[in-house]
Amino acid sequence: MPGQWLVGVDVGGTFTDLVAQEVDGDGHVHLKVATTPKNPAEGFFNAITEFVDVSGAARSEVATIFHGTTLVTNAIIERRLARTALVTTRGFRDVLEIGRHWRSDLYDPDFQRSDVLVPRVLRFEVAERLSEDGSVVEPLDDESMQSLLQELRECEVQSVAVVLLHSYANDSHEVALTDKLREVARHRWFVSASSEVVPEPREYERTATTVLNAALMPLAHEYLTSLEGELEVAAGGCRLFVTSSNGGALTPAAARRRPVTLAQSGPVGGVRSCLEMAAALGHSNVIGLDMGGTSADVTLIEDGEARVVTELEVGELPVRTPSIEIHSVGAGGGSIAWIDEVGALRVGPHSAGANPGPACYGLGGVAPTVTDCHVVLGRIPAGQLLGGFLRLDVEAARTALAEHVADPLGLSVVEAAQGVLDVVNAEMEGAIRVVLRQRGNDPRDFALIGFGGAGPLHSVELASRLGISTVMLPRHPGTFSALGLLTSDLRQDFALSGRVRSDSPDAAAQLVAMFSRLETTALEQLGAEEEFGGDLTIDRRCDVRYVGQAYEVAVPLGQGQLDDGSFDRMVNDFHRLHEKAYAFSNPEDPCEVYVGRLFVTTPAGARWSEVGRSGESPPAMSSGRRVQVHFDGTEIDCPELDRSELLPGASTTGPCIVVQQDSTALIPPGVTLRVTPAGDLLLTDIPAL
Amino acid sequence: MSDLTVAPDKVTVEVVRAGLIAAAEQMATVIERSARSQVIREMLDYSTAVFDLSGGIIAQSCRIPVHLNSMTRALRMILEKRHPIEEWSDGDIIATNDPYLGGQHLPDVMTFSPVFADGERVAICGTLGHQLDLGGRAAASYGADATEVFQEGFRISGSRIADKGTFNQLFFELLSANIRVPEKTLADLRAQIASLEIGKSDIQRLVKRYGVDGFLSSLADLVRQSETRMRQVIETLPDGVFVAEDWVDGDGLGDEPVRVCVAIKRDGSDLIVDFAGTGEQVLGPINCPLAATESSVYYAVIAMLAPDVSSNYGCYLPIQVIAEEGTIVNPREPAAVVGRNVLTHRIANVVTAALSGALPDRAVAAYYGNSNVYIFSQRGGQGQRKVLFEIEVGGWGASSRRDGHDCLSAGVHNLMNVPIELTEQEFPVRVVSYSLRPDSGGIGRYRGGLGVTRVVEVLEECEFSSQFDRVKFPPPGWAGGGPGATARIAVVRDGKEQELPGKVLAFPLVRGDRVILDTQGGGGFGDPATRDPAAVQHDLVEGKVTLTSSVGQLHVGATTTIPGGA
Repeated sequence: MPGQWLVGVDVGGTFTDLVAQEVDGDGHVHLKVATTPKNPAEGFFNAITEFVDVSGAARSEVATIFHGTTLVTNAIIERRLARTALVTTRGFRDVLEIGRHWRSDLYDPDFQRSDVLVPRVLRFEVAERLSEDGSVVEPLDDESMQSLLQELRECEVQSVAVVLLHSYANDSHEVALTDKLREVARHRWFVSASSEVVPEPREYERTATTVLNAALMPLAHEYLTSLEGELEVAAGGCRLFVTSSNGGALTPAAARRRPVTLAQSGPVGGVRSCLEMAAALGHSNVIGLDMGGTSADVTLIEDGEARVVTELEVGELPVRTPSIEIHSVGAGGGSIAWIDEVGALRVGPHSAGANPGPACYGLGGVAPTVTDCHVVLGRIPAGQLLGGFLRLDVEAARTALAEHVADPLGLSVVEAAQGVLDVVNAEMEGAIRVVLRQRGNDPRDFALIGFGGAGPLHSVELASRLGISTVMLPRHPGTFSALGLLTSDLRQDFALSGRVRSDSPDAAAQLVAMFSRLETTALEQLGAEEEFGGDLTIDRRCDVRYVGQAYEVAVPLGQGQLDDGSFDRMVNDFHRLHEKAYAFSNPEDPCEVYVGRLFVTTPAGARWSEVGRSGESPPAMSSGRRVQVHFDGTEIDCPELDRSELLPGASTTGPCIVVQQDSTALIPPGVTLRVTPAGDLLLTDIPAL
Repeated sequence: MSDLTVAPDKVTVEVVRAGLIAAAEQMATVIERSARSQVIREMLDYSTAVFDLSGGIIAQSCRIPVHLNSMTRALRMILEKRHPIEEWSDGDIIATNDPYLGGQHLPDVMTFSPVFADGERVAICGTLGHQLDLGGRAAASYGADATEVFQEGFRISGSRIADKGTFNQLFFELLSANIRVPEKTLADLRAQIASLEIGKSDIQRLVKRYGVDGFLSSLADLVRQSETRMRQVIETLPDGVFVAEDWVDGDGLGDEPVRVCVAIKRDGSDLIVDFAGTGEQVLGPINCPLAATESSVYYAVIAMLAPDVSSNYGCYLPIQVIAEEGTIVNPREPAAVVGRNVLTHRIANVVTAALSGALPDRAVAAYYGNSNVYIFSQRGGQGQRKVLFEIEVGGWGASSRRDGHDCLSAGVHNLMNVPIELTEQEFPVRVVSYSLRPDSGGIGRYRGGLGVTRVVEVLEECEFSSQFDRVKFPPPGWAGGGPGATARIAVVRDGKEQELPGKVLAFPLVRGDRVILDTQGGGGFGDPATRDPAAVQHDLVEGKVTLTSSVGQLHVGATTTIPGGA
C-alpha cells in the first residue's frame, strides 16, 4: 500500500546502508551514511532520518525494518562480552580451556592463543552424568545444584551458560538446571543451555557456542531494546526483524534468546541478493563476490541454494549454528603490497583500512595498496572514492608504488601495479578454488556476481582465471547487501541428534519418527509466536555420514511429509552427494543419519520482482569521455560510460569502463555487456585464462 | 591474457606460489573430509604436499611439521633406490611406509604420483596419512615391545600400487589380509589417492597458464628464496659451539635411559647440527629413522630462526645434520621404530635448547616433549577389533616473553583431540574427568604451561597400551626456571591405585577399572623470585597453582609478596 515502506538497514564497518521500497508503490531509495562504531544505533537512526529527508515519507510510514548488523561479530572479535559463568558436568569444567589442542601456526614460538572466554574461577561443576545414548548414569544431584546456586550468587555474573555432557541425547538435566537458574534469577542473570542452542555432539564446540551465546545476551538485549524503544515497536509503530547467519530474519525476541546466531548477520544480505538475482536471471550456480575496502567475501549458490554449514569460525572461536557459508578470501582494496627480505613480491595480509587508507586518499597513507594500483592504471575517476568525499591523489599512488614495489623490482610503475593486481587475483582465485573443492564443484559451471565497492573492478579478471564465462554486476553494487535484507523471510531452525543407521531393519520408521518428533517440538515453540501464524514452509534435511566418518553431508529431504520411501531416497541421495563432494562413494557401506534439521520459514519481506532497482539516478560521473586505461599490461584508449545512462536493453562491447558514484566496472576487450530489464549489467563472452 | 607480458619473474613466481598452496590445500581438504578413521578424521594426522622432479618439497598444506619436513627424504630415496623419475608414468601411484627408505614408522603411509603436462613430467604430488592400524603384533601397530621392524606391521617399500591408472589388486589383497581394521584403512588410503588426483589437475592448469618453463623456473625461484632467507638468519648467529643434552626414559623393554645430545655451530651461512655423543640404538621401538631426525631438526631450527619463512626444501639446504649410523637417531635396519616420536620431540627439545644458548632473546624452555599415545583395544566376535587411539599433549615451555600455554599442541606435531562424546559413542569407556593439571608447570619468572589429567573408566574388558615418556626426566626449565612435571600413568582397581610405566603393552583391564593419565607440564623460564606477584595471585585464584603442593609453595615462596589464599 502506498505510504507504507519496507526498509533494509545494513550496518557495516565503514558505512550504514539503507534500501527502502514502497509497498505496492514506485518509491525506492538507496543511501549510505557513516557507521558510528561506538554506538551503532546512532548510525542506524541517522540512516532512517536521511531516508525520511530523501523520500519525503513520514517516519510513521516505515512499516517494517529488516536489520543486518555486525554488532555481534565485532563483540566476539573484540571480546566485548558479558561476565559469564559456565556450569558443566562434574569433571569437565576445563573442556572450554583445553579446546581441541590444535594450533593455527606451526612454527611461531610466540604464537598467541586467544584468551579463554570464561576464567577457571567462574567455571562450575555439578554432579550428574548421562551416557552417550542419553540414559542417566548419575542423576542430577539436588545438593550439588543448591550449592552451585549459592556460589553463583556470590560471583556477580551477568550471564550463565549450562553445558552438560551428552545433553544432545537427553536434555532433562539441562532443562532442570536451567529452570532452576531462571526461577531464582529474576533479572539477576541471563541463562543459556546448550540443548537450546546446539543440540549436537562434540562437547568443546557446543560449550564454546553456548558460552558465547550467554555472553552476548546482555549486549543483544540492550541493543534491541533501545532500537525497539526508539522505533516504538511495542506501540505498533513499526515491525523490526534482525537477519541471522542462516539468511533468514528473526524476531527481536528470538534474537535475544540466541544472539550467537547473529554472528554472520552482516554479510548474509548480500547472499540473499545473489540468490534472488541468480534466480531472476536463470542461473542456478553462482559465486557471489563481495569485495570492499578491507576484505573479500565469497559465497556459493549451488542448484539455486546457498550452502548452509553447521559451523562458523568467528574470532578464532567455533560458532556451531546453521549458517550460510561465506568465506573470507583475504584481499580488499586496502591490502598493502610489499617486498620481503629476499626480494619476493607480496600482497597483504596487512591492510591500510579506511584510515589512513590507500596512498591515493591523501590522508597520510604511504604504503601502496590494491586501490592505488587501480588508480595508477586509470580505472578510478576523481571524485569517486568514499562516495565523493575525497579528492583523488594520483601522484601519491604513483609515488607509493614506485618507492615500495616498482623500484626494488626494477619495473615501471604501471608494470608494478599490474603485477600487484595479478598476485591479488591469483590469491583470490586460489582461495575460491579451495572453497569450491570443499564441495566438489568445478568453477566452470558457475556464473559470478560481483558487488561491494571493489567487486566490479575484479570480477571479470577473476572469472577469466576461474574459467567462468558470465558475470553479473548489480545496479547498485555498494548497497546490494541492504537490498537483500528487504526480501528476507522469517525463519527459525530446529535440530535433533540421533543415530539412524541404514543397516537397521526399521530405519525408515526411525527416520519418520525422528522428524515427527522434531516437527512437534518446532510447531509447539512457534505456536507461541504471532509472526509465525501465517503460511509456513517446512524444509527438512539431515546430516548423514558413513558409519565411522567425521563429517556429515547435508541431504535435503524436501518440503513434503516423509513417507516409507523417504529413507531409501535419502540413502541414494547421500551416496550421490558424497561422490560429488569427495570423488568416491561406497554404496555397499552403511550410513547413518546423525542430525535431523527443520528450517521453518514464513514470508515477511518484499518480493524481489517487486523491488524497483533503478532508484534515484546519482549525479552523472562523466559524459562520453574517453580515457586511457590499462588492461592487463596494455594501455587502451576506451570509452568511460556513465552507469546512470546505461538503461535496460542497452548493450556494448569492451574495452570500456563503467563508472558510478561508489564503484567502477572494468570491461576488458571482447567482453559483451548488456543491461538487463532490471537494470543490472550482464557480461558474457569472457575468455578463459 | 598472459601474466608473462609483465614482470615475468617476481610476479609469475608469486602467482605460481599462490596456485601451489591452493593445490596442496585442496588435496588436504579431500583427505580431511572423506577419511574414516578417527586418527585422520578428528586428529588431523595427515599432510599433503607438492614436490619438484628432484623430490624436494615445494608447497604444503598447514598440517603436521614432522611429516612435511621428512617427505622429501622418502621421495628422494624412492627415486634413487626404487623408481628413477623417468620410470614414473602418468597414472602411477607409488606408496611407501618404509622407515629404512626415508619413512618414519609403518602407520605413516605416503602416496606419490607424477603430474604430466603436455606429455612432460612437471611435478609430483604426495600425501601422508597416519593409518589407524597397519598390522603387526599390537593394535594400532603400536607394539611397545617390538624389537624388529618386521614385528611392527605391514611394510610397503616404495611399491608401485597403481600402474598407469590400473590398481594392483594383489597389493590391496595383501594389505587387507594383514591389518586389523581393513575397511577404515582402505577408506583412508582411497582418500589419499583421491587427493592426488585433485592435486594433479590443479597443477596441470598452472602449467597450462604459465608454460612448462615459467612453471619450472618459478619452482626453482621459490626454493632459492627460502634458502636465501635461511642463510640470512643463520649468518646472524654468534660464533661458537652451542650444546644441549637431554634424556629419554628408556625403550620400554629395559629401564636404561638414553642420552640425546647435540652440538650446533655456524659455518659461514651453513648450520652444522651434530648428534655425536647420542646413545646407541636400542632394542625397543623408540629408534628414530634419519628422516624423522632431520625433520625434527628442521622444525626446531625454522621455529627458532625464521618461523615466517616460506616452507620448502630450500629451508633445509643450509642445514647439515650429522647422525652416526647405529645411534638412536639413525638406527640400522631392522631396529624397531614405531615409537620414534619419543625421539623426534626430544630432538626438537635439545635443538631448541642449544639455539636458546645462542639466542638468549629468543630462548624458550622445553615443552612437554612427547606424543603421549594411548590405546584401548578390544577383541570382538569373529576376529573383529575395536581400537581407540588417542594422543594427549601437555604444557608449552615458558619463554623470555611469556608463560607457557596450558595444554596445547607444540613442537613437531599438531593434533586435535577426539571429542569425549564421540569417544564414548565409539568405544565402551566413560571419561570420568578431563582437566588441567594444577602445579604441573615449571616455576620461573614465566611459568611453564600446565599438562592435563584424563581419567577413563572402562565399561567392558579391554587392553591398555601406551607410549608415554618424560615419566622420569621432566621438561627442563631455562635460565633459572624450574622443570615441568613428569608424566604419569596409573590404574585404579577396587580403590587401589597402581602406577604403570610410561610404555605399556596390552595391560588387561576389567569393567570398573579407571586409568589415570597425567601429562607433562612445560619448563619455566627465569628466576622465580622475579615473577610478577599479580601473576602468582592470578594462578592461585584460577587454581592453576595450589598452596597444597610443593611446587605451588615454591612458586609462592619465591616471590617477595605472599598473597592470600585462593
